[in-house]
Amino acid sequence: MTRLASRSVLLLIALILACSPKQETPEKNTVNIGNGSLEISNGWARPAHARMMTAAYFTIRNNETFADTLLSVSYANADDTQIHESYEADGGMMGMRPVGAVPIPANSGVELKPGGIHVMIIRPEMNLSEGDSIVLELAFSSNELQLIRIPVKASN
Amino acid sequence: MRLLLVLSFFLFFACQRTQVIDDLNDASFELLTQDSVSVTFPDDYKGKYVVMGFVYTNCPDICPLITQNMIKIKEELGSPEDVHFLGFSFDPERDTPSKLAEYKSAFRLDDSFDFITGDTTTVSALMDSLRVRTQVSFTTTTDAGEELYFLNHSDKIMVMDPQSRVIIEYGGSQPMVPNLIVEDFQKIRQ
Repeated sequence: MTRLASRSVLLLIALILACSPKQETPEKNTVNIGNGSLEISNGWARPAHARMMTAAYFTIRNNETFADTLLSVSYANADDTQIHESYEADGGMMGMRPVGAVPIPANSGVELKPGGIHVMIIRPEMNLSEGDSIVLELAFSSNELQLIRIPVKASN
Repeated sequence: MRLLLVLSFFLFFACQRTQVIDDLNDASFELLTQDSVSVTFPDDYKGKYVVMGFVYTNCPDICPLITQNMIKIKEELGSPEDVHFLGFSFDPERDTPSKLAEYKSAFRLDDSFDFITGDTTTVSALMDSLRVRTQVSFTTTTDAGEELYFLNHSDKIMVMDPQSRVIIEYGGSQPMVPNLIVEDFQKIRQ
């Protein structure tokens, strides 16, 4: 299957999952990709009112001997999804800037967390309330596309 | 080492008794709550402690941390009746009262919390009084074609005493801040 076809199927699945009723999310919330070469865990997203702004977080572990890169994250039920980073700007202010992609070194991990790198979900179509869950599509440079379902909660 | 220095800094100030950082007794700002109720700041809050955080609702990461810290402060203080919580928006053009109501609703906050804003002149004057700074950091156009701007901003939670004096001020999004403010409250009330 070509990458385009594969992506279309994943997008369709994402749409079906995203529109499905709320589901219980496993407590551990760990997803293995490519026979465990990548492991995604501790995903969660903050609650938000529809058409506002929120963020999602998760940890990626790369168990391979070669580096990988998180190229993009998308959430089907929002106007846009971007990877951003919070940082301490000049004059003691806090700021945020876009991050094109997130390198994941070999045999290492990256934590997307509050106050650091995060996925910004722009203008979700529906309210995201505590107890809900959402489906994100993650694209990696290793040609892996992965859907993850993460819970909506106020804090981790 | 850096963490130690930061903690020492916080502890130093935490040990200072009711040090007045700003006195707002002579100040008066006409603002609106998320319910479009007019309030005069700080007069309408005299007689209560006010825990005040500075946020804007298009901020997905740092401002929710500030809001979440204010919630923790309330929980750890035991929801006292003599403390009111204010989220002040420094983005009045986009953060209309109805937007602030949606933001408050997303955090499931009760009547002890209000989010306030005002016209741009008043908001700017209040920010100057409290040394809150903002600066447009970057803009982006979403896949849906909306142009959005984001702000660099001061990271601050402050506490005003019942006499409208700012007596506590910390970096609002930092994880240790709720504990520090609760400890300060306990010292102040001894």
